[in-house]
Amino acid sequence: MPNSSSWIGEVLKALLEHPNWKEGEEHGGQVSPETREFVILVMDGRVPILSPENLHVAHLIPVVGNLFNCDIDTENGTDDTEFCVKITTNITEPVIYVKLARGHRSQNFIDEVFRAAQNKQIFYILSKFCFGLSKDFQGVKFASTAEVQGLSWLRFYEDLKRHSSPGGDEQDSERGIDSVSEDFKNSDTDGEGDEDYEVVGVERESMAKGMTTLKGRDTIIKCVLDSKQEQFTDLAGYKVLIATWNVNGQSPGSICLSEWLARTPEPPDFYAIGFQELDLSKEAFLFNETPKEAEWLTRVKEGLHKGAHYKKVKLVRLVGMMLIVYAKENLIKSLKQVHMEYVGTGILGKMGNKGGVAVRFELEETSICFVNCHLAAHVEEYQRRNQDFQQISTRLTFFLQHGIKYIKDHDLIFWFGDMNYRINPQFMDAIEAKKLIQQEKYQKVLDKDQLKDQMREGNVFVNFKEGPINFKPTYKYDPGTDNWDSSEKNRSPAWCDRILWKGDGIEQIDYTSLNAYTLSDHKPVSSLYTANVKVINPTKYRRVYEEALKKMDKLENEFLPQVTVDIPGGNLAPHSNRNEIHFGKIRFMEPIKKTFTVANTGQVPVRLEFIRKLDDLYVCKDWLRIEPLAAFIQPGETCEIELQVLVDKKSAGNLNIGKDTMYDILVLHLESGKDIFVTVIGEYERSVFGCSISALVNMIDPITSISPGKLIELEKGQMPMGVYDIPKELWFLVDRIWRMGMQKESLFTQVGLTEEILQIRDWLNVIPNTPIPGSVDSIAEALFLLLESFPEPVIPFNLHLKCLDAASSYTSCKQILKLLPAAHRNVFVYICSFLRELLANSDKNGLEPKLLALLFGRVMLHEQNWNTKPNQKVDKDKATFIYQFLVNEDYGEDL
Amino acid sequence: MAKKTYDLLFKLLLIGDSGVGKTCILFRFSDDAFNTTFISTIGIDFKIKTIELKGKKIKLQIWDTAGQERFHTITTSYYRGAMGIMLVYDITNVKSFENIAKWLRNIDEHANEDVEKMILGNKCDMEDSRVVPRERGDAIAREHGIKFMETSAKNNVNIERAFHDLAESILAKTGPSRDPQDLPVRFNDPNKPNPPTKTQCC
Repeated sequence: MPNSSSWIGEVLKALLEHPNWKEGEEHGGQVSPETREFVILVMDGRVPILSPENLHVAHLIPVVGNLFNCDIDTENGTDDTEFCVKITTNITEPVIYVKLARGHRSQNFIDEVFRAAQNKQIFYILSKFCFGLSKDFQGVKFASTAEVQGLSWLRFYEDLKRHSSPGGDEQDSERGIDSVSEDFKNSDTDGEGDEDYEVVGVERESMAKGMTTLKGRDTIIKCVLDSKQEQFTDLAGYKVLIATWNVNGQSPGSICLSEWLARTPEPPDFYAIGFQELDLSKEAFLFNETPKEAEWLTRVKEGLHKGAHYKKVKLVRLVGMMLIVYAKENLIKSLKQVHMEYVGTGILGKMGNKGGVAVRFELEETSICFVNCHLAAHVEEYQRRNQDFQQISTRLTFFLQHGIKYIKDHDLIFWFGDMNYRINPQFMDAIEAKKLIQQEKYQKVLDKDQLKDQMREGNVFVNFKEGPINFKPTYKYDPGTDNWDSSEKNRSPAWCDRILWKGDGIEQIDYTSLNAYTLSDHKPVSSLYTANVKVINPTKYRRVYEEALKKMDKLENEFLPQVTVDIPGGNLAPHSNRNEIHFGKIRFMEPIKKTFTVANTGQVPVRLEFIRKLDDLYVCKDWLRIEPLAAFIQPGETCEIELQVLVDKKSAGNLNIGKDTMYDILVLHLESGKDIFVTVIGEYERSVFGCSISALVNMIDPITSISPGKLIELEKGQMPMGVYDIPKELWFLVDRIWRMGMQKESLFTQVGLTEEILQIRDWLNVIPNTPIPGSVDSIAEALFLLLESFPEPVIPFNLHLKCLDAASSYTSCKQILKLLPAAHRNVFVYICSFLRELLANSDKNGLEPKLLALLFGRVMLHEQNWNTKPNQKVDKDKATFIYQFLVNEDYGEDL
Repeated sequence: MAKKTYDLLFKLLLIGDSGVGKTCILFRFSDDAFNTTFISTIGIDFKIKTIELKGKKIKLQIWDTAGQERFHTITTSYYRGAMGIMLVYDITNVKSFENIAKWLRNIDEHANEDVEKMILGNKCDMEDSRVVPRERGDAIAREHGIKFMETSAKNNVNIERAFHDLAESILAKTGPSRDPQDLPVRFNDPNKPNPPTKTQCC
């Protein structure tokens, strides 16, 4: 298979080199001068990818800057078997949801995404992750990019996407990818052979080195840890004092704020102090500059609780809105990721006369956000106030080291300020309100409070809480007094200044206004809380972490390839003899086939392959054939393996003398997994085929009646003179042909019947008192087979070259004959004499000396290496050598 | 942030006669379970397990080998690359103990020169059937300068300890990591600016 990942790399390169991409870079300035733009190309293809045409751009996602984020979505269907990956960018959110089954390929996928996110690389999802495991991708959902504006250069890719999709305009589709496809075609055909070659035996090496790892373990572990946070965290309560005051642009003078800020016996751990209308001057509005910031800051510092030392965490001011966060000095170091942000929602929806300022940080395992706001004024404008709230919620963005966070993303949120919600005048007029307030029947008035009303309706501050209000409305007073507004407008009193919160673990201790302060037309408000912060308990964390690790190990072990080998009848064997395949009696030239089944009982697809034992050259012995040598099995499916045992001229000799046995252990290797041994056992019935000439001429009895030891002795004996001149088996075969078929046409060229040849084999092994069975053609073929099965041919190997050199000269040929061992020479002369006699009958049998010379040249000078390819020149020389003895007149002399 | 959850990977190997309990030892260690039915291992199998040693997460890849005599020539080819080898015998089976010497020779011939070895006398729960005194195990281990332990996969005796000790010896040899950048950031690292927070991965 061609290397798909390099293709995709090439395709990406080609796309990026397109002029439109360059144009895109210029457009990048449109969003922000510092940011760069990236495109996520989601490549989707038919699997397996066999050519670049199979690739197409499935989706495009614009990304600005580094705001490309990848999360494990813990809320969306994450469990033991599957989990959800959320890929977000700052332009559309969320962009991609991918639900994945847990497994190796999923880990690979996530690793790729994370790496891309980390390196801010162009990212692509390859179908390589789908290959063979498409079930993993249960649902891939893409957000639309259509609404992305100002990124006109994207259109090129959109076009590409449309055209290259299946069913799209074929002609256009070539435009994008054609430029690269030709090169790929070439590399495709070139690479194929090499790939196959490389596969053999490589896997075990990597396995032995411990390369099998489950990528993305860490992600899973993190995911598990996140879901079990409560199991390893303890809660630590911190006192937080929230304070808010609309100071109506007044200077603080020498005001003492301790009544507002230090009214509890115990010093709070944190302060979040919000001001509105700090400065109402034009300078403050236009240039965001005011001397009052410093003035108020001084008074605030003086007003903090004297029971502790405080340090400023952060100060943020937008025009008149100021938020100061203090922490006890010893806590400062524990605060992480301290950030401030602001959003203006005033004039034109942007200016800072209204809006919100916020500070956030992380304390231990908890994120905390303080928002001080000043929402739209005027009694009837409650909807605008709601809108301001929404604007602040959606627009206020913290840019953290590892991504972005909105207010809503925090564990604990305190939201306060001059929210400007009033008593709904339709239901209660100023006179009645004042009367009820006079009687301290606040609840009756609060029933008509716009904020309470809007919250009930779910229009604002959804899921936020507010404690019971047991204090007078904070607005509107005649400055310097405790009297209600006496101006012409004669405004109805209202609880404009409020403190709300959201998040588990916040307990309100008190909530009050400070009426003694008469500086402004608003009264200051403050509220004390216990904020419970999650703190990692090292012991518990360790336990949970180890559990997660264990779970991970378990998962990894479960995801190793698993198969069972089912051998017919194998379950009857003792367990220690499992995986043994018994072929029983094996006879020469009689193939036997057996099959066994490999079932994928694991959870992952398995690629299996029979591999060489480390020091062997071949997967199995030469009398065994395995089909197929490699296979791919899906979970729950099976694969049948066929073994064929065949002892032929190549292997018979070694089996006869015990140099080889019918026993082999096959190594069935599972890619990235274990190796299984399959033992092949058979019992070879020795036969005269494969015996040497020297053994046969000394073998008086038929081979079946002599012991294996005796046979080995005979083979080892190498006696110069035999009991017989030539092997008796040879004589029987030749004699039979002589009697039956000297005049038969096309003798030695007609193929014999396999069944008859096997019968002849058995006859030769036993030599009974019956005539040799079979037709003359079968006997002729058996003769060939016998000659060819001699481990040392009639003309011994060491004389072959000499024979070939001497072939043209009869005299030289005769000289070589003298070098042959006696038995070999006898056989040679015997065969030649027989052939000459056959040729004497050529008028009947039509045999030609050249043909016989060719046929017998091959078998009497057979090659040492059975796998040697036929060579015409060598065959011709061998034939010439034999030919000399068939046609020369003086044959018989000197032999 | 994709980072490794382990600092090091050790490849370990279990060898010894058939039936001494190699697979059970591995099963006890990896799955903390025990199975009384004996199923002969016909091949080479492995399991992984992550442990923590000296503040390092070590992933052990433990290879279980077929003990049967007829597979020996094949199984020795898997010795190469092993960083630690457990030689297991059965305290109720003299032959398996006597073969330890043979297994040691096998290691010398086929394993890496610096491979860490450990001898385990398994089935120490079966005191009644014991035929190999503890002292003999001790003696042969001392003779070869190898650590020795008696274990019981069944009763979970010394199993964890054996693997930890073997891994520790390998770790001691590994020495300090050369490139600090190679060291993956661990969870719960106090120096790490961002402790695990909700749903944040990168």
